[in-house]
Amino acid sequence: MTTADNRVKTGIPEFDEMLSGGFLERDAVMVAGTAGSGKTTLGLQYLVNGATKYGDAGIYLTFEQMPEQLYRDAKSFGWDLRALEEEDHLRVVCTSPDLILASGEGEGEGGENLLDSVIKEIHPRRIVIDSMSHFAMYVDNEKDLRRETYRLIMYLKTKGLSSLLLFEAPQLMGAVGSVTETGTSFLVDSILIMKPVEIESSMRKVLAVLKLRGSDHDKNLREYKITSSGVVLGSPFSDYEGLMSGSPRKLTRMAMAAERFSQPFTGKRKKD
Amino acid sequence: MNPRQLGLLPILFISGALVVLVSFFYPETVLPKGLTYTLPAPFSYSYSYFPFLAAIVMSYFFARGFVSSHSVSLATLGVGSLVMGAGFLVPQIIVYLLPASANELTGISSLVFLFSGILFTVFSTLRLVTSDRTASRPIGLLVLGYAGGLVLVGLVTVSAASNILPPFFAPGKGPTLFREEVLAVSIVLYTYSSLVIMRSYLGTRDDILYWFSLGLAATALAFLGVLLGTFPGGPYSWLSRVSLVVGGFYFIAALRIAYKAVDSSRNIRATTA
Repeated sequence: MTTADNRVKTGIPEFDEMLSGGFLERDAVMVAGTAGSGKTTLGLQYLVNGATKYGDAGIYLTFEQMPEQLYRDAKSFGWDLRALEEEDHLRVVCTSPDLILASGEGEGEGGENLLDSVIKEIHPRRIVIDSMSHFAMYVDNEKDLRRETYRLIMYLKTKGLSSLLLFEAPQLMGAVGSVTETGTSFLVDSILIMKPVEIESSMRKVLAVLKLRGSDHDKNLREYKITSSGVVLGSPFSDYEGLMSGSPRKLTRMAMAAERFSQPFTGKRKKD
Repeated sequence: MNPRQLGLLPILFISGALVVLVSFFYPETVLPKGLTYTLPAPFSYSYSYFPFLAAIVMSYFFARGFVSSHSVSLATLGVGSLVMGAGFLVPQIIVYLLPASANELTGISSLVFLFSGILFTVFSTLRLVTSDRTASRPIGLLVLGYAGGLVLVGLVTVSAASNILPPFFAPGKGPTLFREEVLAVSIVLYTYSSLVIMRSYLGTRDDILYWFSLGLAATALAFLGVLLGTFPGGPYSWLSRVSLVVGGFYFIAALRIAYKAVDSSRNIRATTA
């Protein structure tokens, strides 16, 4: 179930607020993050909340983990994936990227057939692919990768699926173009970045919405934590600058006031 | 009465006083000449220092905002504020450093305020007709814009000191028609900018826009007082000076809102952490 303006909610209230209500229906969302940043947790939470809060069935397509490992990890957040599968609200599909890629050779063969049968069974609205980095390993060159990624995204869209494509990005600094290192970021509708940063000798996590095609969104960098109930978003990192460049500096009161003073003149209004 | 309503009172009082003066004592020559009073140096220009400081702080704030957001609007406002601040200060510096004539001082301030008015108008018009644009190389543009603003003020000052500019003030006769035209254009530009920003305030309800708009309006009223008056230190002149100080307070109020917002958000975070 989606909202009136075709938003697909993540079920994380602060995150949905950041997205002006949620992702747009059938959008392909790239979630780029470093190892341990919580991409898998966010992906699972998106599916579990979809099933339990909004009645959306979902598919978790993994190239990385065996189902048992995933069930166990999800249990630690209080999510019973087996129960959701029994209720036809979820399917965990563990396969190889080869099978997905093979379907490109001709209709009726390979991985898309596998997804087709699952889609017929549970009529999902959401899918998480974990991860596109594994998918990329099975493609010879960047041109082929772009073509295969495009084909996969279009397939998901035609099936009415709103997708989260998890992508492990070792370096998340600098320009947008460096997010995937493979130049596939232009194919997706939205890009989320999840990144740990070192601030005052402790590791904290930053989430940013880099792109949300066709919709306004909160451009602030938000702190998030992985808690026993999943990903929880905190306040914007408004006290710091240079977080994404890897050199965070604490802003002085005057610098923060200067930014606040300037905001309304650019047509933006920050919530105080 | 909330602070916004309270803040309207000074500007309403100045407007009302100007209407009374124009209704009963215009031209100013109908008033007795003994009615003029000028503060002794160095206090004689103190009413300019306050709006100067406010303008310079705003200029710095806009520069910081520009570096962070790359918004061309902020660069325009920053240079506009810098040039406006220079318009308050440069004549005071010149009068101490050089044996400057009234023509030179009047010429410098009139042209500098005109240029700042043009910059505020550029910002306001861009705000009306297009969405905000961003600069790809903010630091370069910032340096170019701010240095360009100062160079412009310097050129006006040198031109006035070299008597290249047309006469703005004739000894024994008062301001020339050219000066009055320049001042009138500045009044129109400041008023227009103030109204556009007030319109933005009505859309966003962000108090910073409200006080900034009132600051520009009070400055425009100050120019109007100068335009209508004849004698330095006369009632029109004093009304103009009061209006400049009130404008400075309005700008400071806008800056204070920004600080309060920062403190408030820090307190909320400290409470919820």
